[in-house]
Amino acid sequence: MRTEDEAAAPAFMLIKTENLSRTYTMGGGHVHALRSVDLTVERGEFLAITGPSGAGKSTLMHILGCLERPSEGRYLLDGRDVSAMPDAHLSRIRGKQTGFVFQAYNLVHQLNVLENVMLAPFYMRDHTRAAKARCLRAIEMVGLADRLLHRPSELSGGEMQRVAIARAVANDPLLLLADEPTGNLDTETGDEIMNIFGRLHESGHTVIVVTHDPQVAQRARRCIRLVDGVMVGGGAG
Amino acid sequence: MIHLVEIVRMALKSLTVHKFRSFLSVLGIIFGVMAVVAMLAVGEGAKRESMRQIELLGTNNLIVRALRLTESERISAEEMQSPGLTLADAGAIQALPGVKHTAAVKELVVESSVRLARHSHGDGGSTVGKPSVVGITPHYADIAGLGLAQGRFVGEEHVRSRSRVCVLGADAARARRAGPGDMTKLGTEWFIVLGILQDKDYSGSEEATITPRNSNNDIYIPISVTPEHLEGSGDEADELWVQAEEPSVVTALSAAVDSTLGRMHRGVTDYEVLVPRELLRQKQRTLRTFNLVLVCIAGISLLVGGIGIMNIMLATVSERTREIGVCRALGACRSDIVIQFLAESVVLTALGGLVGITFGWAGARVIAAVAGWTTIVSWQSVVAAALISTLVGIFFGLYPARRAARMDPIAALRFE
Repeated sequence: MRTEDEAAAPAFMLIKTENLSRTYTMGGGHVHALRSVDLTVERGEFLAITGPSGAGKSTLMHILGCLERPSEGRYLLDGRDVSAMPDAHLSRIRGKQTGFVFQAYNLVHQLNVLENVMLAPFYMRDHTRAAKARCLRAIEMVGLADRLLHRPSELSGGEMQRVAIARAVANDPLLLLADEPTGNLDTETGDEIMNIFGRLHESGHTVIVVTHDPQVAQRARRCIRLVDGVMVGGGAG
Repeated sequence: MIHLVEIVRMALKSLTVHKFRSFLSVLGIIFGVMAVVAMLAVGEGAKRESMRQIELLGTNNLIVRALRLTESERISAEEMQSPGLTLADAGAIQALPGVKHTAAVKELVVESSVRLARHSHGDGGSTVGKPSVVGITPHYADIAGLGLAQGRFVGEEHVRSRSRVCVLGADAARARRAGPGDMTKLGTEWFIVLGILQDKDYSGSEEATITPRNSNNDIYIPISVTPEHLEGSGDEADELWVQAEEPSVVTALSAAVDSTLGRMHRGVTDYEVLVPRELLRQKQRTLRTFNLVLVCIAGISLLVGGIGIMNIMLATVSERTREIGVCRALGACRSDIVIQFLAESVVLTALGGLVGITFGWAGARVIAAVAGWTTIVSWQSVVAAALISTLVGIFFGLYPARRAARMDPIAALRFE
């Protein structure tokens, strides 16, 4: 059920945050991780979120990826207000519409490459052949078609991150989120990973990369900067 | 359905990562289930065994046995002019309502001091003990369930005319190499063989409270015939076998028989009334207590096993915190996480249950071979063991699984 306001959002608008704030209570005091962030992201954008550590980059990414709810403000994803949705709904949105890539790859070590990628359709209870075909295409896209049955422990860091990317795009999400994807990799491998993100962007994916590496941020078409939870530049698309 | 299969497959993958740990954690369940299955098999075996023995005596029957009296009892019995158990008693019992047949039994050669029990039973007919000559009335064959292999049984006319005829038990016939129509010598007199009884299985009946006499080694003659050299005389009887018309009236009938005999014996209790059915019931009550104790022990061992499972699942959950975060990020909702970890604990205990059932079954075989007891692994005990081990997995896996599901995805992802 969309409100009038939501329906008014233009179709090309993928993300719209209004006055987005996140406050943590820690040891009696309040920590303002995000303060009144107004951000709009259009479909097909390649956006970098930069800033010093502790600036709230990851918090913003978690909210954008529906892993966390804002304390205040609204977050519209694809025209739907997701800021107050119950956990089960958010889980579904995470599975269908967002894909995550983490700094530490976060592969499930007891599963092989194919199984790791197939976790994405697994939680959507999609056990069709089409889903498997999508996963295989994603693995091929990141160049690991010959490593299907390898365990993560048999892969290099770059390869593991590529598996993570394949997993993130396996459900054809609207939004691809990466949190310091090159943080654990050497420059060359990091470049390769960023090339993959570049290709995904070119093929129409909306990509948001959180990084403190200016080199990585340069690859994006747009860059926003967070300092102490406040957005200091590049908010409007 | 496919989803469920996939969940189980994932659970198996996770469990095989730490094979030895999984094995150790499920050991409690294995032993618990094994003990349950083996002990239930022993209990079931004992139950069937006692049931079989009682059935040999006949569940529709009741047996009146003459008691041996002490000297003082005999004097008082004589004072009261109690005649002891006689054919007249049999007649009086036959007149009671609900009685189908009555038969009198008199043992003419007593092998040992223990009557009825501990007859040398032929192991497949090889052991040839001294045959017992037993005087009976014709209905004994019907009541005691003796089947004829050849010829016919003693009839009323033989009793009336005191004919020198006999019916041989299977072993006795083998020993004497006699068939119907042949003459055979009992003591100093010759008897005509009327028929041969079927071989009947009395194995394993030594430890029962009351054992059926082993008909294989018996020689039955009309009760009215009293060869001079054989002990016993007149119309006295050692036992009266009474068959009720209906199983339901057996208990009431035993009371009626008791009071009739009490009147005829003028209050002297020189007899006892045994009801195989009652004995069976008593035995089953004892077995039920035994089973209850077993269930308690099994319950404790499964509790301990379950706690072991819970412990290892809690360790697994905290170890795989980050994986839980990843799964949440990939779209797993809380119930997915619960199901995933629950599947692991259930797969663990169900497999443990299967191994336990196999070991328990093997254990029952070993007990049967070593101790010589009858053990029966019933399908009910197998189903119950499988069900219980699964339930243990659900019960003890639920808390760790819920703990995993309640984790904050962000905190889980950051977990080092």
